[in-house]
Amino acid sequence: MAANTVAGGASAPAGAKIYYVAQVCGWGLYGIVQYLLARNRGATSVLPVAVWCGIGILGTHFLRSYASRRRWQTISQLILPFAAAALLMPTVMDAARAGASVLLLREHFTAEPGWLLLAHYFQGVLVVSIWCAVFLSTVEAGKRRAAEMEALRLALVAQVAQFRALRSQLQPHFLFNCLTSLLELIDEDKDRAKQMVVRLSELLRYTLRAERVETVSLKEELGAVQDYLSLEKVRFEERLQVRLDIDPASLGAQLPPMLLQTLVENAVKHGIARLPAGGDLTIAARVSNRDLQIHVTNAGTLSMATEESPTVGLENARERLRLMYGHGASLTLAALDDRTVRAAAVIPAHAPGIST
Amino acid sequence: MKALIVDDERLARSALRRVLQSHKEVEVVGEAASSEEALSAIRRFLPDVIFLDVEMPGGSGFDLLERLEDVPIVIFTTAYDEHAVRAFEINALDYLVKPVTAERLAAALARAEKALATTAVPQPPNARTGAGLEQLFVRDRDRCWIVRLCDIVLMEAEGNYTRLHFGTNAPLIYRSLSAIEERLDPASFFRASRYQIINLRCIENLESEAEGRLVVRLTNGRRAEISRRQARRLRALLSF
Repeated sequence: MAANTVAGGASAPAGAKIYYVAQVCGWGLYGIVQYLLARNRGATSVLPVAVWCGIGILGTHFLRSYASRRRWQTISQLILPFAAAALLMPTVMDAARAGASVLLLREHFTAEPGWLLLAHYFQGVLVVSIWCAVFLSTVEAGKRRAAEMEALRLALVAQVAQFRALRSQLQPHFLFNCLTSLLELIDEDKDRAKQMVVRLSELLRYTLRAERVETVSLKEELGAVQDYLSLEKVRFEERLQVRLDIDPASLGAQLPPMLLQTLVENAVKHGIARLPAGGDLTIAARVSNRDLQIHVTNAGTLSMATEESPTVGLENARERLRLMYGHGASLTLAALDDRTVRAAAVIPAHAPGIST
Repeated sequence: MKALIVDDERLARSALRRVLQSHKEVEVVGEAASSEEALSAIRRFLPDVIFLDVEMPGGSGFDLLERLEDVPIVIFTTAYDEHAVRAFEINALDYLVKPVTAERLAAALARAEKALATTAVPQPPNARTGAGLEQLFVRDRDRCWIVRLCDIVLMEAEGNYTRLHFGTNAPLIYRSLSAIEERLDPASFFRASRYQIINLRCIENLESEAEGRLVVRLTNGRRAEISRRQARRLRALLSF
């Protein structure tokens, strides 16, 4: 019998070697059994059985190359030619066996009784049919496996693409607000305007770098966040009060770039910016249980944080964490009391599982 | 032209004030940093035009407009907000993107000037809070309009709400018909029945019915039935 694996569609069979081994072993084993049975009935030579099996091998091999030429079509398309072969091949094989006995072994031609001929014929049909069944189902299983592999591959490709798209960038809204402030500051306070340009360029450089690297240290990210906050401070003035509560031991911890930035931006946009009197924004970070824990706490309410724009930034950040760390990471947004909202991120210290 | 600047950012306000300096026809009468401040400033200064930032703490610019009994000319300002810009465009509202350029500001002011000139409606005698522009801000789901009262053909009570018919639109606003009636010019609008107010300028024809009742056909094809008592008043008003 033959076993074969096929790598879907038009591609050549990947398991060609397995096919040849299975073909030789299957027919060989069947031949040996037949020879032993024949010897019990008084046969002396192995030749007739060998010829019969040899033609079986050739015939089925032809069937395989036929299927290959037809680009491994579906079972329904191959079933008719295969069935025809199963019905025809045994007559050729039986005739060749009889011919071999007479011509090569110089045995007397003795006409076998009709029922015996018929029995031999059906035995052949059975053997070739079983071959066809095993062959076709193996092809089908291979195709299915290949399709599954392809689906998995596509899912991975999609995930990588999605992951790239999720990398957060600076909001255009923020940039234009910065430029508006800057325009006024040039007249009002030239030195602060200069500082603002420097901070903004530092922040832009960081966001460009963030597109190329997978993780950054908390120290680097904090630097960018402080640039960002100093720019927002120009806009919001005394309405924005920032506090940092960073455990020095956590500064070396790795996190996806722009993650903390996204949380802080969210806190400003949906919290501070919506309060006429503004409020506090606190960034806290520490490492515990080999996880980096980040808290961004701001004045505001949860309804403020989720109304209108459905916190796309936060959703993206959450999805990014899921793609990078699976269930090891988490990102939650909750109200501490009716005037304070906290975003909490937990990021595993171990290396992330996806590479881009 | 009296202008009010509404923006929560001080620098944005002074930047706008600065570009307005070259427009001598514009007098900036005040600034407001929040919806609340804006509300009292509008009532106090009665500006002809307000520059209104959409995203503001304590309620958006739209929320503010909904609370106004009389809406001045509004020029929205936004830094970059795709949603806001789309809303302005589909609703044909005037807006400026920040930082504001001198050219675009000049164009917006020219439009405001024109709008002020064409709405020189005679002031009704009763006390009015706004500058007499007689506009309403109307929001219905994701659509909104700044509609001039004289463009409203028919107002219909629906419980505590009122449906305003103007153009091809008929949005609902959360104000009772009676509350709206209080500030309408009786020379222009007429209470046809308990649940309808019609614009006298939009009457196409009148049909007399039995028992002295009247049926009014309006320019938008809608009909209003007028009771005998009100029909007498309408006849007197239109003097026929």
